[in-house]
Amino acid sequence: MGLRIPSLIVPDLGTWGHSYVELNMRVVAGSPQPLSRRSSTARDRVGALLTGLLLAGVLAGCDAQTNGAGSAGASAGGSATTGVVPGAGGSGTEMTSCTGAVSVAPSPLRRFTHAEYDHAVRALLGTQLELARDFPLDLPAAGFASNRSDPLSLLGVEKLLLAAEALAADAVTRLESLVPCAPAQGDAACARQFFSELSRQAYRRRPSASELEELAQLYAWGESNEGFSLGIQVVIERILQSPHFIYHLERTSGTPVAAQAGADAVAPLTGPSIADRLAAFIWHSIPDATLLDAAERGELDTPAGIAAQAERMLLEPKGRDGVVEFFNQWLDIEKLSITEKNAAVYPTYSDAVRSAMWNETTSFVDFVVREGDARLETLLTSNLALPSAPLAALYGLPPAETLTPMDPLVRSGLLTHPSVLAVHAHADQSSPVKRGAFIRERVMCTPLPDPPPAVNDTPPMINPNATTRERFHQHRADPACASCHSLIDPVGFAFEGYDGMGVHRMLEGNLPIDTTGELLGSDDIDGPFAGAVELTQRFARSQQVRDCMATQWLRYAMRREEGEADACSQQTVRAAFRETGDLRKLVLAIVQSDAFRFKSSKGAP
Amino acid sequence: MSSKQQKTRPVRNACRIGTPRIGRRELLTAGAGAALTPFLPILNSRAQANGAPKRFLFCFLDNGTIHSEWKPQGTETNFTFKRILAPLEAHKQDLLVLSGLDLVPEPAPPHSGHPQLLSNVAADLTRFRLSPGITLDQFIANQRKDMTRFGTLELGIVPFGGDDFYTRELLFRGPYEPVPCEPSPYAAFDRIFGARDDATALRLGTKRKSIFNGVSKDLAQLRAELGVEDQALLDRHAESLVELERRFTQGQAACAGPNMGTEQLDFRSMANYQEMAELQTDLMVAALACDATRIGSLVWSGPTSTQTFPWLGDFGNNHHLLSHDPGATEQLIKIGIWYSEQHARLIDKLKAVPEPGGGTLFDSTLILFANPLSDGNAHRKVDLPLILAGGKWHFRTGRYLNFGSTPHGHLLVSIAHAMGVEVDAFGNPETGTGPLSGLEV
Repeated sequence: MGLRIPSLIVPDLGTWGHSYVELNMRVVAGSPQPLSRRSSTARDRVGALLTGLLLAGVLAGCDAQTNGAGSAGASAGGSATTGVVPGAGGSGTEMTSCTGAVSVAPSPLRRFTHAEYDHAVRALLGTQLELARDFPLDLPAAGFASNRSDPLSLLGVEKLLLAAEALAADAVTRLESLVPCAPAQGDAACARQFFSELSRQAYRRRPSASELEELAQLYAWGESNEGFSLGIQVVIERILQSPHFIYHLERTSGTPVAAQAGADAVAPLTGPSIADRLAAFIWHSIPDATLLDAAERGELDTPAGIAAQAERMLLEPKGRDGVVEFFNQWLDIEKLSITEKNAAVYPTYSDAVRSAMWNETTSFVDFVVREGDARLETLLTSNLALPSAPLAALYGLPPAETLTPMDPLVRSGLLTHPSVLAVHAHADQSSPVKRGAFIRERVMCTPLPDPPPAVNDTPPMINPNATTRERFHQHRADPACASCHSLIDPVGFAFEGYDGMGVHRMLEGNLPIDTTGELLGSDDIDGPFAGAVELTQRFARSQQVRDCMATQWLRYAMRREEGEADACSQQTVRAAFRETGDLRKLVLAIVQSDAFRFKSSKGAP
Repeated sequence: MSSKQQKTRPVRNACRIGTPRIGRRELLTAGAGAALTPFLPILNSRAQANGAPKRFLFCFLDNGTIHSEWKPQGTETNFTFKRILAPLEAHKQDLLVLSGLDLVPEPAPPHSGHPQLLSNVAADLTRFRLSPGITLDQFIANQRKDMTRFGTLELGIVPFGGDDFYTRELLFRGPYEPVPCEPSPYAAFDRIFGARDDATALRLGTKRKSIFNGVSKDLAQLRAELGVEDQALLDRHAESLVELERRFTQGQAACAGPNMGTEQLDFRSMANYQEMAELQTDLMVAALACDATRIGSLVWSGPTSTQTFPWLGDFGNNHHLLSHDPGATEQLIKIGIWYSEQHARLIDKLKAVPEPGGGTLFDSTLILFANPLSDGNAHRKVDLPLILAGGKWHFRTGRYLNFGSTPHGHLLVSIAHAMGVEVDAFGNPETGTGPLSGLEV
């Protein structure tokens, strides 16, 4: 069942140097494992890597200072790094001196996203139900589901109530696996032990005496009506509707770190609040008992302690959820479920195909990030794919259930995955504009303005006598369009070798496809290219792309856009990622950053 | 409540001018002022002969229409329907077909008109195209305080599609506070008609009430820990609990819901669109008939609907893509005809429900059929295809009126007046004051 070793096809990549062998060998080097299981070998190896990172003290910049401020309430003194950050103007890096007080942008209150809710109730109750998809939409922030500063609607509150009732009813069908006694002998003491533990995990802190008293009364009410089971059921409903469960309540400890006059108050988060952020980031869920215990022991009061837990969490099975959810949202492949295709143009596109596309990409990223070499370069250029039965025809290969190397002249990393190509396309044709804009914004962090008001944004009609590229000629001809589309379209044209559902093609009808172009407006990778494979190679070497990835992960961790006050954290995180291009190290850098460990409050009481 | 909310919400652009100027507080505290005096007499003068309460129903469609087949031919009172509106022929004398009403200012980006349709405030382009205003349905409900089990009821028909995550919110109870619609007719049935009897409803209500008591205490306690912006979020949560508790302790409506069929279909699937449309329409009619609500919205699709219509023919593309295909006029006409058939069915259903005091449910109902676009391909937001149906206690129907180029905000004022809510302007005051002229009886 092991992964097949990628074949050693060595394309001539000319000036861009990195051969596929080199890149793919990195994936293979991590003792390939079946996707469903991790071996202790892999775990130990990763652990050693991470430990090495910690010992080496890779983190530069602000960290020298924040280490000092790690203990609750200590003031953050003025040590700093004033490193010169080269280049990267286009990706928005400002020269920032990290001297002075800790500075982070405000993090207004937010509640569970759909994915967080489903994962949290699964952790609490072992349920298979996923009810959050019926909740009103999550509000995004900086491209990721966030629900920050987003008031619950009336319907939202009602849906939380209905979900709590359904989950409680479901849970008591498994009573024997939930409560610490035989349900037939269930009594008030057994119930109390059950809801003490459940509320501690749900609220991410120990419940107060009065909270336990209220739960005991609810249990007694239910028990007196219909016995032990209903008592337990009512208590579960109560806990799942508590704001202590639904919201990410971030508490700070000690004296707020002295801020400059007029600035917002900044203070270190308490251990349990750090635990909450860690679980929301790495597991897309709530903390487990181990993490809460560590928080109570004060182990999350130092960056090293936080990193140690983050490292453990990443390797737990739940670590998959956090990694997968990043790529799900960053690549927009969560939209596959609502991406319809014109059946006349794409007769093979089906529910089975789109779900196989999603599984392929999520299996790939989980493998690379948590078991493989974790390198951005690998994600962007590896030719591994998962041609499961529904995708076999798309790839023109026999079905396989493991990651399998493709022709490296055809597939090169995530951006050439059918999932990504199908989402960023129209129902009846490819879309150089959607693909180009997606890559510019999400991969290169190039800010793009909205199109002008009166623009006709309809894709030009399909014409058998012209390729897609030729039909988009207007963008270059009209100067009003050209300023943006000269940035967007060449990137999109590079992917014209894949149709609207990601099938590789050499011809459009009878017309040959031109995937060459010239990249403009980047910091470090401008110049002509021959097609998608070469372009993805170039992204893999770009510092701008690395910086962008660091920013995307920071946004994902914080569930908000970075503010000016986060400049120092952003710089630190980018610096760590620039050195290694290693996503596991990036995660560790983020959880140790000021932005992650401190909270700034506007108008706090 | 709403005025406090407006102060504490973060406001990031100048669109605040669009917030309705006459809020509940002003109406109630105006005392001898001008706002209050005409209010009650007008309410009384327009009360129904049969004592039935007035209802308002908003029906939303997107992607524009084909004007050449939508606009009637003829004069104000002597006109004929062309193909798209032909299915409404039987109800012609109950309609006001309106042309020449524009969104003002015409919103800039392609898909940003829908939050403006019922709020008359431009969407905030910096915040996910949410509205910094309140929509008319919510405003009317706030003003009237009917105390029905559902202050407003929003039912959506497969409202998922749409190619842009950020263009899906249509209704707002306040700045940046979307009112989502219920997409599942089965969940809607349970929420409206779920408990089979009063005893079950009240027992469930008792349990929920004791849980809510605890949750409310949690919220009050947490409030003290938070800054003002975060407090506002918890306040909204607490207000919703109060509203739900009121509903749960009100018992069950004394009437049955509609027939939901024997098989539960996937309400998310575009393939089940016809069935979901029928169920949600029936539920809305039943909810109005039971007086479970008096203000409803039937959202026939999410904005930029990507619904497909295989039962109408082999159209190839979905509704949104067809709306951008200049060669797809015939397909769009057929889609328009189908929607008119559904609208006619809705009116038929309302006319089939007798009121206790005489007449039918339709006699006490005002419907606005609206679309935020005229020409979908060009994203034109002027000369919108709008129809009022019913509301005959206030409007002189059976007419086709062309307003040339008039801000649509006046129509919202007219609707507010019909529902007994006296305002001079609604939303952006720069679009002018007063109702549309010549609509009333």
